[in-house]
Amino acid sequence: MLMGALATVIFALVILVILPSSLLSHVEAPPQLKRPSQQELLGRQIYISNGCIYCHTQQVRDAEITADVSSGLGNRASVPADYVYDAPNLLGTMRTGPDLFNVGVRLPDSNWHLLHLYQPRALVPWSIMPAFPFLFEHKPKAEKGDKVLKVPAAYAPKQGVVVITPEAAALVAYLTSLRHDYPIPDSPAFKESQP
Amino acid sequence: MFANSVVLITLTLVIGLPPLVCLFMALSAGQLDDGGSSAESIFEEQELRYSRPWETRRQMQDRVQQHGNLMNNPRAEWERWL
Amino acid sequence: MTIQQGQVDVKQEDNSQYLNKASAMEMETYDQSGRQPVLLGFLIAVIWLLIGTVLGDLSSFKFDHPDLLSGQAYLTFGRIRPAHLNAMVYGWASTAMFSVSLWLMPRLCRTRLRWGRVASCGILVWTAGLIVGLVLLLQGYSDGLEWLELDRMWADPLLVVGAAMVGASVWRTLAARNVHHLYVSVWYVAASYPWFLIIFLAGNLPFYRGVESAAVNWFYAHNALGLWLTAVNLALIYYLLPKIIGRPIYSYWLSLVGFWALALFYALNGMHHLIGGPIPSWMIATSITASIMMVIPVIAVGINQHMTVVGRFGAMRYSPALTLAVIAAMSYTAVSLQGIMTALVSVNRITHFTHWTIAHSHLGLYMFVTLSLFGGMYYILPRVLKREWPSRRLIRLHILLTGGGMALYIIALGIGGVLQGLSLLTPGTGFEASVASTKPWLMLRSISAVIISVGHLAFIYHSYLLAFSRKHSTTQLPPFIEFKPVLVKERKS
Ligand code: HEM
Ligand code: HEM
Repeated sequence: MLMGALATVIFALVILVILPSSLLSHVEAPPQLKRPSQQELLGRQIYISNGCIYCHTQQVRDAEITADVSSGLGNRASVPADYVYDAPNLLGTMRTGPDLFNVGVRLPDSNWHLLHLYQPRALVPWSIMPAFPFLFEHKPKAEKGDKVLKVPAAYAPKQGVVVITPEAAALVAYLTSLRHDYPIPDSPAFKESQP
Repeated sequence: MFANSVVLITLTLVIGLPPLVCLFMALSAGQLDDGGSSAESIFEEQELRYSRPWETRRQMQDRVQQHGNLMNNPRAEWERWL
Repeated sequence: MTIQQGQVDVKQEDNSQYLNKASAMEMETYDQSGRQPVLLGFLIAVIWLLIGTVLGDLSSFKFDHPDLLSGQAYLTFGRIRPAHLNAMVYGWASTAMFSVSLWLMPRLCRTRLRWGRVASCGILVWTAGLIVGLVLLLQGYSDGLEWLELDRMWADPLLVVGAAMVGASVWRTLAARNVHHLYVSVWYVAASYPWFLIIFLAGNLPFYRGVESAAVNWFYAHNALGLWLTAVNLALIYYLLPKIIGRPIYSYWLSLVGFWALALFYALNGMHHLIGGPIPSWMIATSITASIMMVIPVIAVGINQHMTVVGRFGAMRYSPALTLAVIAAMSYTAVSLQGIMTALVSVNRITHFTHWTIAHSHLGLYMFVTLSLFGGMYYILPRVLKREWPSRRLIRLHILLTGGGMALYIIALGIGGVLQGLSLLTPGTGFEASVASTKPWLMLRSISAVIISVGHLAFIYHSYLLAFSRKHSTTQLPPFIEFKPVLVKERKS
């Protein structure tokens, strides 16, 4: 009998696996939401593998109960449609650092981001974000095709130059692509059809 | 539009329903009948008669009444700290 | 149903001797029957505790010194911190819980442990999976979901197989039981294994997208806490409290109410981790309601355990295992009430995303889970090894440092978290204010991290002495006997 109960459970799971969940709960992408490019997807992977999620959220909460909108994290709360291209999700649970859902709107400058990743305190003196020097390469001299990062003397290595790796460039491309400033997608189906 | 998640609802049921089945099975098998003896089932033969140095006199007397005269724990627990 | 009852009848005929209580000798055979997997599990758990402690300390220090060890990718905060979580939850707590279950089941089912070899292999497979997963995680291969970071290709299958093997041994022992009535701890332990396997498998499936991915993520994480970590530790506490005090549990009926309420309603709770987030509001509302309903099992457990101990708190001076079990039991009530509070929108709008959550995590995973497991080890190891812990001073050191240090940790982050949350709620102050408001509290946390780590070192050293040195202790006094009782009147005799 207990075995039977267990079998039911497993059966239910199989159903879950067989029935593609996308068929059952369908969300349409808002037209203004761009499909992420190859480079942005690589950047997202860098974001995951270096654990940015442990300090940064990517969600703007309801304006009625929080100050998320009034303190400039976005012009509206985030909705499921904003996340259709996200797998896995990166909603996050900590705001040790600020929310990044609209960081591409607030901080569109790639050079700012690159230097900030190399050494956050070069731009934000009170920041407690770790530096990510390993996303850059220290070279005695720039070679052909190298993109060199300008670093203020106080934070620059004593000799040589700081070269931007493709990973750093991808991560910044991902960050600056985080823009969800379009209005709430208002297709008629948007209104919750379920109780 | 995303109004619910069938996956999540199903998962919740998968976790929540089997216990309900089990509860009825347990009820019909008499698992929940005799709480007192279940509660005492973890003790060894004389264990409820071992004297325990932290008890008040009242508590000791209660135990003597229920289980008979107290005796020393043969493995000298309480003198050490097992 | 008929089959099952038939089995039960046969058992009762065959085993009339089991209607009596077990003799001390009989208990000893049960303890020895699981000797190999139990000791193996505890050994591995203690090593993970050491690793997790180093990782936790590093994570903590990095808040105060963000440039500390930032040169190498594998030492960056975003890798060390999930490694801390995984080493502690799946390495320390889960492995120790395997041992606890494998030790409890034979005693409670009154039969020797079945498939002990399988369980030992399961523990090794689990550990191998965890090592693979953690190495990959530090290399930067993460599945990207909190609590489910371990690689789903290379690590998770090993974890599933390992846990299933331990679970098989638990269930095989249950099937061979010589008792009719199951003690409440058996319910918790036996249920926790299928629960864990189901949620872990479901959580790791690779095809969730968007907010559904978040929903399943928190469905998993929350149930891992409630149906796995909480379940086995409540089982242990339900065993240790009455056993050491020498008094049956206050109300057996209440303990079953607690179990079944947990089993039936816990799965609804997960979405309270996403309050205010982009999830349909009815789902969050359901979760908040279910969270409030958790008052029922929590109060049932709390009252029951309190009433079992009440009037006998003095017993804590005689038994370090009881001391820890009592603190753990109280912390369970505390963390759950804190959690229920946190699930209310009016509180959550302040504390969500702040260090308040970290305080809550460690109140649950340390003051409840970890202290309960320490207590279990103080009780179980001497019985399995047939040797008493060698040093009362090390026990005192361990309990006072870890308990005190973690109390400081939780209070500091509790205060820091609320300040941080209030500052985040005030528009126009800028983000700097929220960072500044937490800095002193994070520093205090790092201090407590050092204190706790010293406590862990004392415990690990002591476990080493117990297991590997010949230094025997004969009759000494219990470690806390000099502490004058505050909660009970001294016995006049
Ligand atoms: C030496 C003692 C410990 C120290 C210093 C410590 C420190 C930390 C730190 C610094 C974090 C990261 C907090 C953040 O991201 O803001 C953390 C998170 C965490 N720790 Fe510990 N920890 C300790 C013991 C433990 C133990 C024993 C467990 C579990 C058995 C544990 C489970 C966790 C969990 C689950 C998280 C994630 C919390 C969340 O996401 O809300 N920790 N710990
Ligand atoms: C029924 C009782 C409980 C309720 C209602 C509850 C509620 C909550 C809520 C609402 C959060 C999310 C906080 C936020 O992100 O803003 C949370 C997080 C957490 N709770 Fe509980 N809790 C309960 C019991 C426990 C217990 C017993 C444990 C430990 C064994 C625990 C461990 C945690 C951990 C580790 C987290 C952090 C998860 C993460 O962000 O990584 N909780 N809890």
